[in-house]
Amino acid sequence: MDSLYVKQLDEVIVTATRSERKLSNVAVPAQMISVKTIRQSGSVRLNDILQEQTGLFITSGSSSNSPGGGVFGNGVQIQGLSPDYTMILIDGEPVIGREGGVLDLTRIAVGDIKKIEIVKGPSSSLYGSEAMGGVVNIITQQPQKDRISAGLRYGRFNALDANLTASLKKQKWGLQVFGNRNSSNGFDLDKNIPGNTVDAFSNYTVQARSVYQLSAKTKLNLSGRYFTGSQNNFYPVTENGPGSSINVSGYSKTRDISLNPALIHQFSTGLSSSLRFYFSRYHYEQSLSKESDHSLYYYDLFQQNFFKAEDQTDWKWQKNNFLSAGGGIAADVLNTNRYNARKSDALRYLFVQNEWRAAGDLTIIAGARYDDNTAYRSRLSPKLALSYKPGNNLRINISYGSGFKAPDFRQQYLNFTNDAAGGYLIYGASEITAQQLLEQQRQGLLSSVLPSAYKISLLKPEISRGLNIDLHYEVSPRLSFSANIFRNDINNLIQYEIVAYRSNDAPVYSYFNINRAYTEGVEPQFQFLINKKIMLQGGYQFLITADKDVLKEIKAGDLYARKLNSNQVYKIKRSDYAGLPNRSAHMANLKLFYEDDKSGWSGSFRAIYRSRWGTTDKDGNGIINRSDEFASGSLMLNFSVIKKIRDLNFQAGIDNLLNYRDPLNLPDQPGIQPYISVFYSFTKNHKKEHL
Amino acid sequence: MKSTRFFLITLALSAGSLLFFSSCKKEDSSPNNVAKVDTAVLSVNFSANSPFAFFSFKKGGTVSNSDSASNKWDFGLRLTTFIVNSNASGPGNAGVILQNGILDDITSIPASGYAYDTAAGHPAIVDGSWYNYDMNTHSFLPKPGKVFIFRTADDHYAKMEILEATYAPFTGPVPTIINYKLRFLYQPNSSSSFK
Repeated sequence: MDSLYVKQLDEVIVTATRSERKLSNVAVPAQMISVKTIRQSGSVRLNDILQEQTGLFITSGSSSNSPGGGVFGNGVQIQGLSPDYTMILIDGEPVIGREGGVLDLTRIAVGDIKKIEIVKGPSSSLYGSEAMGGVVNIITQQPQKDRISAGLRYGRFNALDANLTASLKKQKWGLQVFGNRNSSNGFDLDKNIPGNTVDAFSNYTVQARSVYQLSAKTKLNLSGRYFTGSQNNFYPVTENGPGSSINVSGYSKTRDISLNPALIHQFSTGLSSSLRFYFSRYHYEQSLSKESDHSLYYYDLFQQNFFKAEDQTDWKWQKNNFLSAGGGIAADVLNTNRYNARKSDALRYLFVQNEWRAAGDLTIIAGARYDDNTAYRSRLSPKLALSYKPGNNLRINISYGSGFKAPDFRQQYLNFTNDAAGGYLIYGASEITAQQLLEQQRQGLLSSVLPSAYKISLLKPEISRGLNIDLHYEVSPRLSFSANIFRNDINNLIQYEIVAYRSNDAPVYSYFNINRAYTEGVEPQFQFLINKKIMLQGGYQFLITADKDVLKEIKAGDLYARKLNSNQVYKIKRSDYAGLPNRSAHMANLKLFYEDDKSGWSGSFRAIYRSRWGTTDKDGNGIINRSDEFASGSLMLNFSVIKKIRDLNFQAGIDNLLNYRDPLNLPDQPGIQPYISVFYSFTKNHKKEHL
Repeated sequence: MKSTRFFLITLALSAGSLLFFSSCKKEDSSPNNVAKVDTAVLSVNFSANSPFAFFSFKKGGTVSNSDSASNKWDFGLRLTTFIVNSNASGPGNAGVILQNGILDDITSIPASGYAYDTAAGHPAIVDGSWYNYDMNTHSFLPKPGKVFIFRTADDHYAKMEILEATYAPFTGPVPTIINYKLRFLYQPNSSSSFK
């Protein structure tokens, strides 16, 4: 029993260094979520479990009451950096298909996850673009001895989640197949609006993984994943102004497929190499017709194909020196009706990292990655990390790294007129020039071209530099503390600006590298084993974020605000400015886990708090400063109880016990959600095998 | 009963005349201190092609578009485009300075430095400099702390801020009228002091 909780630091993590290391030996802020925690928390999708972790903030998807709505989905913020800057990996390979920069975590089922590894802070030196805020790596189950398991969960709103896993393992090969079906009737938070807030949906996931030992030194892995989800949409749109809404209906479909063969060869004890190929395809489609005459109202198609070939060689070239080096090529092809043609992008990259165990108590890691791209400027991402153990109970990690995010296709190539919302037009920065806008003005398509149009140019990657100081202190085998202090400076942030007005007076936007921002904060955590059966965990994040140009304006006394009711204007002080929107200054969690093997009872009680967070500017100064510009803070209480009887686990739980709701800012939060589930696991009883 | 009411009316009238005279007296003793805080709503076409809506500080309200060739107006607004009555835009002598600050705190205003429209499409007030547009709600939010200092078409002075921009109810796909709520002080004599 005690081994389940205490030994986490002995567990192996791969995400931090791209090779297997003990969690207690990595020099960057890293954490791991075990399958046990996932199960005890009753989690179904990736967002369920991530939102209970210290310092992670799950952004809310928009409601399905708007075209394209409901698709931006739930993304994850790490260290105050938006979901756009967080990389999501499954077994080390990036999940593709971001809508509006957000990768929807609800696409990922957690039913066959072995563990989730989270590395915070810039990790572009290993993973390239997008790994600016951090990396979430989902490690799926390896083929185990002949085993079959099945789970069924039923919850409020007819929410159904069914899992089936089959695992086979022979002398030379192993196979694991996982299937999941997830569906819900959706829910309605506002009866005055026709249709549901979230419409009914269903989705399926199939994952398979096989390992084949070709020879004593060579292994072939092949894994694949298929996801398909669909939703029937029905909602009103205010096409003809307030009070004259029409109803539209249709469907949206999401599909992703990926295939990942890998060949791993051990040349000698200290030298191994892996060759990996990865192909992934993402498809999203939404079609809406008017209820009145069934004419097409809106159609959106988004297809992304991603291919990557990569080799990584790990070499222990000296007793205390571990070298990882590699390189790869990647291609990204996009086809969407939002762009004027099929767009593609090719990438070549090299990375190298050396880990030097300088002494028993000191480890130094230095590394860099070079990305050379066809569509934007190339980028070198260095990293330096140091881990020092002054005593047996104390460990200090200091790491400094650079991260970047390539301008995405949308920012480069978007050519999109939103007829559903006022007819505004957005051009990617590579799609338009000031001269072309002036030409359009001459043709009478535009009524005016603004000075900002002259700044349109090839976008640069957004970059960050991050410093992390990480302290771990083990008071006793039962009680441990850790604290992470972080600071991220982000430059070249890409944002849209109005560049012209159309002749119908709707604005025309394009993208620019304009903003500079920072995030900084502290993340203390503790873990306390009250006794052999009860574990208490707690974490807190204090976060400060700001747009640096806003700070400059405040310092110069050039930024003003308007009082809520009187409209009275006053000068903004630093303390009035709440930083970047969609961030809570305070987030905290307290979790209690219980497990008694003898009686078969286990369970958990989790409290998750986040303070108020900024939503939209209302007084015209473009920043969050006034009380009506915030969504109120929230406290979520979740609990779950499991009773194990032989091979069967019965679980009952309630998520969001306090029935917290905020239809305006959190349209995908339905309120209290009770559920029951049963999980069956059968392992064929035979002698232990070793592969 | 009747007599009481009569008495009250007399009292009210005399009080009113007292107030009237006292305010006249005040005007006479300090001629600079007459600029009063006023508000007005300027209804502007939500279109870049329709006629401008004209505003006069002296009148404290809208001026008919048929007076466009006169100096009866000080500035015009269409959607979010300003014109100022002088040079390229009109026969008057108007000019404008857009500066950061709090309207009530600006007591003396410059004698020079007033910008004017040099040509069509080159307005004194750059579009986008005084508001934020919210792509999600499609609303124009006038920036707080933007003070418009005007030399009027007939060489008087005024200072103004825009409190809000709201759409009049509309039935088409886009709004037709945008209502700007203005707050301003006008100096009816030629002084440039707003003490």
